[in-house]
Amino acid sequence: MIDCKNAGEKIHEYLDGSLDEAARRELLGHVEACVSCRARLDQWEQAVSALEGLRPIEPPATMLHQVMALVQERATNPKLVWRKLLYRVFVPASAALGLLLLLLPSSGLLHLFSSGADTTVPTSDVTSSVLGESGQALQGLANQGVDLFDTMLTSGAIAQVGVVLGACLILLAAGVLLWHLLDRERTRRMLRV
Amino acid sequence: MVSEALGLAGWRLPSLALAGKGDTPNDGVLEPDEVWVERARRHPDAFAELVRRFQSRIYSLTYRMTGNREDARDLTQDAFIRAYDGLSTFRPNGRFSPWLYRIAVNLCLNHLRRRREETDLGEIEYSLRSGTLEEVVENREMEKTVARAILSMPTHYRSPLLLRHISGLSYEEMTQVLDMPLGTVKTRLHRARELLSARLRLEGVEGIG
Ligand SMILES: [Zn+2]
Repeated sequence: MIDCKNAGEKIHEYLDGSLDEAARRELLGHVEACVSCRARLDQWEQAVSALEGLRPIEPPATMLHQVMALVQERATNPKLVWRKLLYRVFVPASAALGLLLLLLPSSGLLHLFSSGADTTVPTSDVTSSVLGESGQALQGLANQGVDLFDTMLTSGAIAQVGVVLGACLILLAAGVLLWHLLDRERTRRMLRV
Repeated sequence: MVSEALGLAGWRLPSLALAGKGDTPNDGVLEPDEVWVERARRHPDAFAELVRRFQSRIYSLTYRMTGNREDARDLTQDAFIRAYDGLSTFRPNGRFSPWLYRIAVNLCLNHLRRRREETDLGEIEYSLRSGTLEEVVENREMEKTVARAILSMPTHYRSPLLLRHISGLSYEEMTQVLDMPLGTVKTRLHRARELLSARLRLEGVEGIG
């Protein structure tokens, strides 16, 4: 049974259009018999129709243009573009490179780079004739370089440098990613206000 | 004042001339807003379609929340820019419109919280309906009274009231926009309607319809 006490909520549901047929008929039955509930229904209904009768107010005609000008500014803002590049290109690239450097020594692939103990940079007539003495000096330096690389390779120094470098790159990538995620979370929270 | 109100009609963009509240310009098949969100992520120009679709609705809401044309313009602009900046945080299976409304409502609430002083009720605008001069004057007075009654309400009643009856949102959407349980949303809206009704009676508005 509806009494005046719970009729208020029913009237609101009626205004929302969420009462089923039976409940609607029950409410209207009460309202017909009860002056104070009829007054409530009328007044609330009038308030709603007055509110919905307000004409929509159109924004200034420049709104679209102004918003899009700001959007374009953001899309081409070097600072923002640079940041996008940072987390879209730099993070995956440095993580991949770091991982490669870390895994290279254990994969045995590093030895493919070894030139073999007795390899030297080949002498060509062209280099010696064109560059003369300075050319030969350069060639000597190159040979020394190859020797040094081989020594480091066999002693494991290259592998160690690679591992350290790889670890640094992965840490860096993780740091940038974390910074980016924190920043994103801050934006998200700001949008929630 | 009359010329000012008439000026409003001139502002209306042709494509929006027929769009009432809660409508979008209807030209047959309308792609979902979320499709345009995806596009706007890749091409900023695509964001224009979302602005076109929502600017009237967001402006109406921010205007009724603040009662001030400049504030409404700034808040609408700000809401769109924040939405654009936050596109990357937009959940792929979420819906765009409650999200945008939420940004707009929160900006309004923040703005009103900061703007401590009384709302300038003198600035309230109203638009003209066609009709005899007598009717026009009556409507103007009515709209002014209703607008003032809205602005005199506490913001936690004002926002559900406007979202429901000006923006035409469903309860489901309102729970998302206001981030409140359904029960709270209903209670606040119902209380807000009673408050509005009481204020209108205080202002001597009878037999509206
Ligand atoms: Zn009763």
